[in-house]
Amino acid sequence: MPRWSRWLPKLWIAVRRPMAVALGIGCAASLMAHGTVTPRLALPAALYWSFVPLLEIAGLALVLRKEFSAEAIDDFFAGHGPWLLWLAAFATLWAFVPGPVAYARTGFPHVWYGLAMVAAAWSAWLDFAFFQRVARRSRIGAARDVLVQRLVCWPIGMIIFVAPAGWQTVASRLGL
Amino acid sequence: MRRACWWLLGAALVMGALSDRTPARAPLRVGPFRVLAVDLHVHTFPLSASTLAPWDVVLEARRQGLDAIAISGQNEAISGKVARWFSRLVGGPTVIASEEVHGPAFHLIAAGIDRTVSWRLSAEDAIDEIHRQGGIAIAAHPTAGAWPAFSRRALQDLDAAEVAQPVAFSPGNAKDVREFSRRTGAAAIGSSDWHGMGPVGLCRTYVFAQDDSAAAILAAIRSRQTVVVDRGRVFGNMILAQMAGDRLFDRGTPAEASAWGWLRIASGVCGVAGLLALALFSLPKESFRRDPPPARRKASAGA
Repeated sequence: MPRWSRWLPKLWIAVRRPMAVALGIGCAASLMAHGTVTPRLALPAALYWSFVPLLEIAGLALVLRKEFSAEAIDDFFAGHGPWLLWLAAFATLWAFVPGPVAYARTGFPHVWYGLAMVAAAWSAWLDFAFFQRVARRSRIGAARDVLVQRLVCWPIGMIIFVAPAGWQTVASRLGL
Repeated sequence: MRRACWWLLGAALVMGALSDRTPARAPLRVGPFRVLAVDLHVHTFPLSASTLAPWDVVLEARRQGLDAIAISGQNEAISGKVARWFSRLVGGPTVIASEEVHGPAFHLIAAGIDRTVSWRLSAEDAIDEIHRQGGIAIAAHPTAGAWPAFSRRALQDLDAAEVAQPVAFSPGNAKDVREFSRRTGAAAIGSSDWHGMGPVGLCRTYVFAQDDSAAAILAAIRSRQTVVVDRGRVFGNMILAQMAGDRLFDRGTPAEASAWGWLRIASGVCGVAGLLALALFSLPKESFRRDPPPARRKASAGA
């Protein structure tokens, strides 16, 4: 049996959900900007927004160490469902509601950022369950893993997304 | 669910591709001027809290009927230079390399600069630095909270101020930015402050310039040759607005031809449904049950 036939199914298990998350973000970016899912915007956006799943995988690898596997990646990305739900709702707003109405009469930004907090909490709870059940951690161990995983990938994500203005905000608040 | 999600997203992509057309627009001339639709406050990914990369924004701006855009990275000027290079490569709209000077007390668009202007400068000094580099200074979303940062000299030195932009869709902020613009007497600017939400050029400025070069656009703004149309209201140079008449009202985000319009809506609906299906398919079902927790495993082993 050729060697690739052994690792190819594993590779597919490892990449299928991260790729789905990246594609979801790309489609949402296209919907928000253009009102449609056009390959011209959705596919490149999915490519450069794949930094999100890649960072998540890096954080997971650091937390799981020897238990890190293709199946673990696949199970872990189940925790991204709440974020995709939020993204679907947010994309619907900008795709179908006229700009002036979306900005002024839908509770933007506070309601939407509040809903993002709900998605973050739900996602953290799912990841907590993942670390408990799949990685067999204790409650405290699972909570620590969720925290460490986020401390690894979220700050790097924020640097990529908004570093210069983010640094100005932090520096101004701290008087640096 | 999994299959439905891929079918829906596939259908959305096919219909999105079919309906993705750039409407042809004849250049608008009024007297000696070329009237250019310009968005002077656009952010890109990465580094500037937006969703699309500079090259994608350039193509999208062309599709939205914009003649020029200012890519204004927050406290960085590299995104604008990348977009300008790409736009020259593909013959896209004029790109003015810019920066949003994103300070704690005020935000300024530095349009047409070469080097980053520090956010630590006062508004006066930032405007001086922008002028030294040959650019123009535009007060970005100048709501009442930002007014104390602008001294009398800063107000005099400003080249332009935003009167129409997303924060001004709420009535209180609209009053603020229009009052600020009235105090400065600077050119009126409409900008989308685009962070990926809604179309690029949702709010836009009509610049009455000699041609569509960046230099001509900046010169026209310095000479207050701008008009902004915001939901039926007109701001800026009223003489030029009267010369242009109703023709400006047809230059907003492009209306779609009916057949392509239906395809666009169908692509959007399938896209949203596909995203929802993707989210529901992603949520855990059996996956967490593949390995039962240790307590349950022991119990089942005992049985």
